[in-house]
Amino acid sequence: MTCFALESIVVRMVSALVAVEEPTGVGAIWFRQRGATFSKPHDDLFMFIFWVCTAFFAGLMGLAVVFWIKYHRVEGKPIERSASHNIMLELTWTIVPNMFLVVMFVWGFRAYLNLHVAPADAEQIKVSARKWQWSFEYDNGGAPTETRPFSDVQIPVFAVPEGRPIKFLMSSEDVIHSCYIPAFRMKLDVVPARYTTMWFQALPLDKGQESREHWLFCAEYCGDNHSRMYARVKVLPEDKYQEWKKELANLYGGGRSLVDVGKVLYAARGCVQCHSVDGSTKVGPSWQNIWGEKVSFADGSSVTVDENYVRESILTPAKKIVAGFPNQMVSYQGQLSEKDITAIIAYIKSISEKGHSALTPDETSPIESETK
Amino acid sequence: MTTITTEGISTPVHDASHEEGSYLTPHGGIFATIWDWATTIDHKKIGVMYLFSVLAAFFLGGVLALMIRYELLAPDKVVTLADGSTKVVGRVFDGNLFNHLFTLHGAVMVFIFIIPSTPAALGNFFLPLMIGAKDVAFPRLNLFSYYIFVFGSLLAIAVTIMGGVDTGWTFYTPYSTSTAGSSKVMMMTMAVFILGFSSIFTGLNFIVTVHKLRAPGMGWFDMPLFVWAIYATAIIQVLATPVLGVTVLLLTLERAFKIGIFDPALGGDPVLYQHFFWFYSHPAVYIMILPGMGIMSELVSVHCRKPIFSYRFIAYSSLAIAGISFIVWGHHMFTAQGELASAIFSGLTFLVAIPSAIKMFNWLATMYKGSVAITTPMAYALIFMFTFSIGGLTGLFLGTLAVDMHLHDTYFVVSHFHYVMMGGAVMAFLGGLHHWWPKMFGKMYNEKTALLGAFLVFVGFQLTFFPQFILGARGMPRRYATYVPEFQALHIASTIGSWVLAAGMLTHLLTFVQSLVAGKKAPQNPWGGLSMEWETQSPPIEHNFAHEPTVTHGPYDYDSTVPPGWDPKDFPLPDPLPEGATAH
Repeated sequence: MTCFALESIVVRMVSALVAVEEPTGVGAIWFRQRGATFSKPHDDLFMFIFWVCTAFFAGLMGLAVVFWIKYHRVEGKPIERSASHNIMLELTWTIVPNMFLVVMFVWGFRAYLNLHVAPADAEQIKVSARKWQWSFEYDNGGAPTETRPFSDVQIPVFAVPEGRPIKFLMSSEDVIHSCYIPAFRMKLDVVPARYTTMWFQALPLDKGQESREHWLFCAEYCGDNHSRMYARVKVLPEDKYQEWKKELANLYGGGRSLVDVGKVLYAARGCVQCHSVDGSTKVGPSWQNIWGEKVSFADGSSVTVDENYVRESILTPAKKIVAGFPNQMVSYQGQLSEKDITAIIAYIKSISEKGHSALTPDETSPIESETK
Repeated sequence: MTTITTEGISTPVHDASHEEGSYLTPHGGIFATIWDWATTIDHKKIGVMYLFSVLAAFFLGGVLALMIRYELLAPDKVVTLADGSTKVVGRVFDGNLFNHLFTLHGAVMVFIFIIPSTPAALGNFFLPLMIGAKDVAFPRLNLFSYYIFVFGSLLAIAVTIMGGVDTGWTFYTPYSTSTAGSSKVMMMTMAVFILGFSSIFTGLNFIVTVHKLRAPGMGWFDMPLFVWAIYATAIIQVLATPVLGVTVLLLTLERAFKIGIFDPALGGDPVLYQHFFWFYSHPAVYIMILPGMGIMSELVSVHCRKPIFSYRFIAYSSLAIAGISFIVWGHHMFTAQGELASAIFSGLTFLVAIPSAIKMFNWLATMYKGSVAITTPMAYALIFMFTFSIGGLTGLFLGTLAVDMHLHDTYFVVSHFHYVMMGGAVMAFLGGLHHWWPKMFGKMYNEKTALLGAFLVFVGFQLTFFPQFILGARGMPRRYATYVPEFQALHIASTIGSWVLAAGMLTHLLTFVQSLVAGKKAPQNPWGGLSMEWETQSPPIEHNFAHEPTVTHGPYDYDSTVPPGWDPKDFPLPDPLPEGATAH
């Protein structure tokens, strides 16, 4: 088809002009660093549209200014007659812009298709979104534990290998979110009760560069902390990536105690978004000094915070809502193992006066090295 | 007293030339006047009431926007205090308030300001005048429309005072049906449901008026293009708004009775809501822009004293835009729907760009060899051409699938729709308001301060919104209360722009107040327009025309109707040129 031929020619011409990996010239204003193999094709198409639009805009407004000045009103001057329609002119200015639109559509559609069909050898990472935390599960069953502070929350850091395809299999636990990595120039909505997939291939690291990081933002409004639901993508060389992945499956090793693991899970699994450990009130009650205390619920009943209460609050949070707090928490059923819950219990004990003295040796001493 | 004229039949009508004053003249004391306005079926009074209501909504929405932009001056920052504890600074509004602010800003601006603005305020006032009628086809329905509008608006404000909603003006599921504040969400959507009827009845009224009440001798292609635009808009209003009504009704039923249409836990599909919602809301944006484009045709022709270029194609393009607007809704959902649907919607979206581009070229060609005045209406026509072009062209980026994967739900989209809605519809509305102000209120406004206002609005608008294109392309998502620090410089520029924009709007407000209080008396035809509203006095008498008008010339016939050397500002026009000399 002529459309496809025309579009291929234009793509090749534009790509030849912009041969470098970093956005340059006008592109440097519009774009951040390129992180994936799709970034440059996206930028090339964007710049094509940009220059076509700029040309038309400059022509249109240039003429408007010229007419404004040349034909400014002079009182008393008779109005010149001129044609009130001109079929050739009108056909030209309908057909010519149309040709550019066809190129944009075809080029855009083909590049988009590339995005949605992952290569067969892509390694899969399961991405789970919930208000307001991203979690990642790798094909060895491990989940990232490193977090960074942003504002008053912790955001997860997860690694991907350079130079080979990675596929995200994404689903939401609650409302619609959207997984957006600006450096990779791509996003896809993350919907509940459905899997959506997108794939990318991170660009190779520069010589001597140990790692390269990019932002991941949530791009579909999902409530209070939508603007703090971030993650960090860390691009690693293949060997470092394999090391890092092996460590993930070893959450309960490395000399950590249950309390240590609980502290990691507090940040890595998103508890930090709603529960503080310094006594301040966020969306949910603070965990500081909560162990062994009596908490009251909206219906007037109360309970002393113990192992059963913590476990119930994690798995079926809607059953008992502390008075004065909203029913916002989504269940972690299937997300946290029994061992994870035990670790969290140990951590909560460790930050309470009453709980601290109740800690047992198996909660505070390094765990025997074993896989989860 | 008969208020209906039938096409082709010359009916003797009430000779109102003996009436004193105008439609604004009070007939009694203060209470009598209030009652008169509250129960009026005069389209002009209803139009004026709509005008002041939508301007109040615009002011409210504008204040919300200034608050939003103020929050975005600085991102969250964590500081360590002297005692070692940390504190988050940089937040102006605590908790979830920011999310409530942008939701209310969107809902007020879309439903209470921009959709009614040109059709219900200017359209109500000028549609009958432009076709030579005494009123619309259903004057009582017209008043009822206004009261529904007021009731729906007050309900929305009441919900806000009760705690408000934070879902965004789009109320996407599952968030809207499952969030803690979802009962208020349902009340807000019921307010939208009620407001929808105002739009439907107004549209119905206008369609029948255009079909049935044109003055003798006025065929379809003798109507001013503003009338064509209002007509096309009315078709969309009648066909699309019921879909929104059903959608918000389903949303309420879903939450109340858990019918399981959108909730995935009950087997429903949350993306289905988006299809239903955008099936109305995309045509809705053409409800917003088509009347503005109609105003553009009036402004450019009158203030350049030239026949509009290619009248028929502008008329047809209004209908084409109305039609195609119904088949592009999926372009709001490229990241949520399948590949085939996305491809079809992308292709159709490019199709709808073409009639809009054609109009722009036609207005430009109208300026060629014209007599261009520098009045505030013409200034706004030029501003419209500048900002609406940018808005429309940036739509091309978003319609291109691969690029939309990056730009969707970023500030690029926010900037695009502000460029077309505010830089398009609102600029045209302001131009039309200044153009018709002398006719509506019988007073001139101060041209110098109005031009200053237009200048501030133009500069402020560009400074507010152009940086947002760059923010979006660099990855800044929308509906964010805070952001990563690299975006701060552009946000500061945008916020300063919002202050300049506010100053411009304030200048216009003061200009209009001064005009009402102490403005110069307006002549019958201050700009030299040739459409029928200029054949009435300023302001018009209650029954619009002293004698039934007959059509002797087209609305833009500058070259055939006005002999060389004759100033079209002078009224009455001389006799039409002899047979064979007219050029249509």
